[in-house]
Amino acid sequence: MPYKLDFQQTHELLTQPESGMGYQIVETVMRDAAALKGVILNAEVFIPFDKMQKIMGRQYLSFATILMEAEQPGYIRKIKVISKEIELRESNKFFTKSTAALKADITLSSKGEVFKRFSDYKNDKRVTESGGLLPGSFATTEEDACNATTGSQAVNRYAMPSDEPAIYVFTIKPPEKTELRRGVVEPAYGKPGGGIEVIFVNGSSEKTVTGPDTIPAK
Amino acid sequence: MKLKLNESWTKKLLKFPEAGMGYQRVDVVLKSGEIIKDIVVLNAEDITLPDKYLGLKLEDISDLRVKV
Repeated sequence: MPYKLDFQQTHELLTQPESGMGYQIVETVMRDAAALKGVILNAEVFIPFDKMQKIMGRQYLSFATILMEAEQPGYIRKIKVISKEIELRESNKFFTKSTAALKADITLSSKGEVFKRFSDYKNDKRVTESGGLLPGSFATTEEDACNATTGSQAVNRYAMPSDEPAIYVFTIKPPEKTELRRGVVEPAYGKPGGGIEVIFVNGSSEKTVTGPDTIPAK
Repeated sequence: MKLKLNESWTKKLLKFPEAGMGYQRVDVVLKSGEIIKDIVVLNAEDITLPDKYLGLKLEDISDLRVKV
């Protein structure tokens, strides 16, 4: 069961740093003197680690639902933010960290999922003659690609080393369950990054890559 | 200073994963024994070396070690 914080506790937590976007790792002392470690979301609701699987392990749970199911304030006596003192492994199961794709675990593509690859080369060498993608090639999701409508935006969003606008856009429609690593582009080469990057661990099979389409340079 | 790699180097590089969209990072080993570290190769064919290597030719390269 999640536990709501009272106004004073929320206020106190807001003076302390987050452990990740929207959450803090804490140790609490409960009304019955039990010491519980867990996560506080939005400085509002506490979920003990031992209840995380039950609460957050469901497919998708809105914050409003968690709040609705939470016990009213009064169960928590004391809260200490401990994010820097403990191993975050427990929380990382449930919260996505902004890590580069190279460091991410392998996931599988869904049916019908589409990806885009930006390049400043029309003859992109990672695209094979048979319309596949070589192992270890990078791309982005179709959704994220909508944020780069010019070649210059693509170079910045995907922190590409070349200053040439990446005006050629390849479309990749891999078979379901293609092995991928997904992450967020880290800043590099004086570019901010921040886009979604996807590595095709074993490439993509024949006839899955089309294009390139051309987008404006600026 | 830019160099265009020949097909045999490109073929070798394409066997290795990228470091990001459209590029790889390599250590360039020269026949002199010198190693130029952490150089970007675009599209497995375009390599940019520091200006101090102006005049360097493809024949001066003995290996490209892709950083993975």
